[in-house]
Amino acid sequence: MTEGLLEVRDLSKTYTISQSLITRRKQVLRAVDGVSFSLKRGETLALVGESGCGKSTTARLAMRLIEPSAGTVRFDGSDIGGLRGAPLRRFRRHMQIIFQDPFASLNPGMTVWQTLEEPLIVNDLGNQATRRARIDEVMRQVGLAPEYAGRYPHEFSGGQRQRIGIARALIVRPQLVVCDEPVSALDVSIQAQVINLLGDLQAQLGLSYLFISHDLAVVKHISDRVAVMYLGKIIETAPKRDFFAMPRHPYSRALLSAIPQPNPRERLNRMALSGEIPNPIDLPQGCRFHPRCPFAVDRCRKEEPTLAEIGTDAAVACHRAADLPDWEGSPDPLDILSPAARRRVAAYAARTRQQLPTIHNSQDASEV
Amino acid sequence: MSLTMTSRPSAGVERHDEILSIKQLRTTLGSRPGGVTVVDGVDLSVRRGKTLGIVGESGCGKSMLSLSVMGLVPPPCRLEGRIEFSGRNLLDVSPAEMRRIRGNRIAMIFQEPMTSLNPVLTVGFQIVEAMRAHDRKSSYEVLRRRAIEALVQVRMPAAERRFDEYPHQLSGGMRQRAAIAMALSCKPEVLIADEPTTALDVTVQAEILDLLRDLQQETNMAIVLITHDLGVVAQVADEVAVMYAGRIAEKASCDALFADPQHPYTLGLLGSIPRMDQAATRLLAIDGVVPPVASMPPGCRFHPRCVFSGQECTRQRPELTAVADGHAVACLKAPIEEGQS
Repeated sequence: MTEGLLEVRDLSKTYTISQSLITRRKQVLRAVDGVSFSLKRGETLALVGESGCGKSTTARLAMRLIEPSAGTVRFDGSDIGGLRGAPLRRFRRHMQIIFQDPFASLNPGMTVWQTLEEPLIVNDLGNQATRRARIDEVMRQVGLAPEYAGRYPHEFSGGQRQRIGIARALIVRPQLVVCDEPVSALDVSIQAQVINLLGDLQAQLGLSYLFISHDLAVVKHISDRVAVMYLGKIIETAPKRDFFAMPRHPYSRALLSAIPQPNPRERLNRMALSGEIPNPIDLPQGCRFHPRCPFAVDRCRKEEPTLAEIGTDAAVACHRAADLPDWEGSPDPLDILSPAARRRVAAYAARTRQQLPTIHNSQDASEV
Repeated sequence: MSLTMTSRPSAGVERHDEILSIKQLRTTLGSRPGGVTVVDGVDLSVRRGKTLGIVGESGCGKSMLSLSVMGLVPPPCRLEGRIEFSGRNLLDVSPAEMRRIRGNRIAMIFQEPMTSLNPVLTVGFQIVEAMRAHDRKSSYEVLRRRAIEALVQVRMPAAERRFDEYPHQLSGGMRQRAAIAMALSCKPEVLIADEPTTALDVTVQAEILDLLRDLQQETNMAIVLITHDLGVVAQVADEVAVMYAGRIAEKASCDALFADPQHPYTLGLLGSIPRMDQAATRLLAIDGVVPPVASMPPGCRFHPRCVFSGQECTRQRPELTAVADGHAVACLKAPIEEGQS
């Protein structure tokens, strides 16, 4: 098997929380607990899970923004674990990140120009003239007019700010971009714009995305592969199509069935989970999901399941994976639209396509 | 498409059940002559035991609409029209009377439970405080018991213990449950829920939506659910109003809206829901952004972003026009069909 662009093996991050002053007993929080995955060039891997499952920590570990407690990260064939100083900075150029909140992740005191120029200066790329050309080019690529370069973040809407965030990540020509919930702070119609933009940029620039999201609908659209995390572990990973056609882990099914479908006739058809996510300091014995799992049996309470291969490129960590009932599937929103709605949405899409080429030509023209 | 209409109760029954009815509401912020109109001629009503979903993006005026109902629009402001609640116009009642209604008969929950709860007071203290504002007579013990009952009612795990805990000790879902318990502690007739599940995880969101539906069945309260998520609306609403730039773009029963959506903005929202589709790798996006309130385009406010707009849309304001029983659309081009010019 050829090695992926990013290879993560048994990555762990534990935080020690001293609990009692008297007994000095230390408690350990396993934020990320033995996570492995590989990301191929040009591919989008989605890390999915609810708050606190460790998906953002995993991405930050992979970028070496925080130091792992154990495990290795290989990027483009070389181990980045031991990098220090200048080699580490050189590596960072190839792996950039887009943050969730476009209001918090831009410096309000810096103009767009300064925000975009800083990574070039830090990485010692180009001279003043080439930097200017590069900033113009990237701004066009993300759909911002270069005339706006002198403006400050507060002069932009949320969607535009996220475009600035994307431009900042792309300006140093990275190979891999970590997208940490890049659209969850945006309105629905703006979400669609930014998702389309990320898709276009990937196609144009051959980017690889590590896409972190709690929103399976977005993941369904943008990813090639899905890895579901629960309490610091990957509990299922599969190619997108297989995952959405036949999720193998009960938690994946619960997540999928909790997405509210835009169809009033599809109500009340979800798999309910009981209870809250357990405290990560005090994990349950056996499978971490068993207290909430409707399929749990005795074995699940005693023995922790390991991620086991099932077919090509797919794995699941569940004792009962083979016993689960057939998955009725989550209908595609487009399929569950009424005929009239589908017809009109199609008319809308046809009209948008007619208008798109003009936008695209101007973008393509600016490309080098 | 009108098969869902036949099951609707007759108009007479509807009027009787209407607990909150908003008529030609105009909310204008600022003291300058003219000011900035954030809600512009909105007609809406909600019936006892039913849920009205209001859908729209940031800046569409949906939150200002709910603040108008609560009498909480920050001054200086001007409110015109009528907000009828159990036979009275809330725009005419005295501030003292409004205080007796607000929180007591019309309650509200917000998007972010961490910011709507006071971090330095226990959950129980805050619920008791809310009840005390409308009940000066009962003893603390009575209110405490009622507060714990309210926490039990919202299915708070270990309700008795949570009473003495602080918001930071609760998970996001539990915080929203506490906020709902506080809102329901005075047994309101109308609950306004402003994006109640937006900040929550998807499994928790499903639990909170289930909870709201159960509580509605128990108490017969009317719910006004404000959200940007058409999926959430489809799951819980009976009636839906789609708002854009301070106006209603489309209004219908929930079934009719999804069976027969007509306004281009509604179509755009439906089309921009991410999906896995072999043919189309791009999502249908609504280009552009919501216009700033201070500089609304003339004519139809959606026309600069609308792929179907024509000359007339730039001049003429589209009125909300009935297209079927209980289904009204404000668009000169509706209904949109293929091949339409």
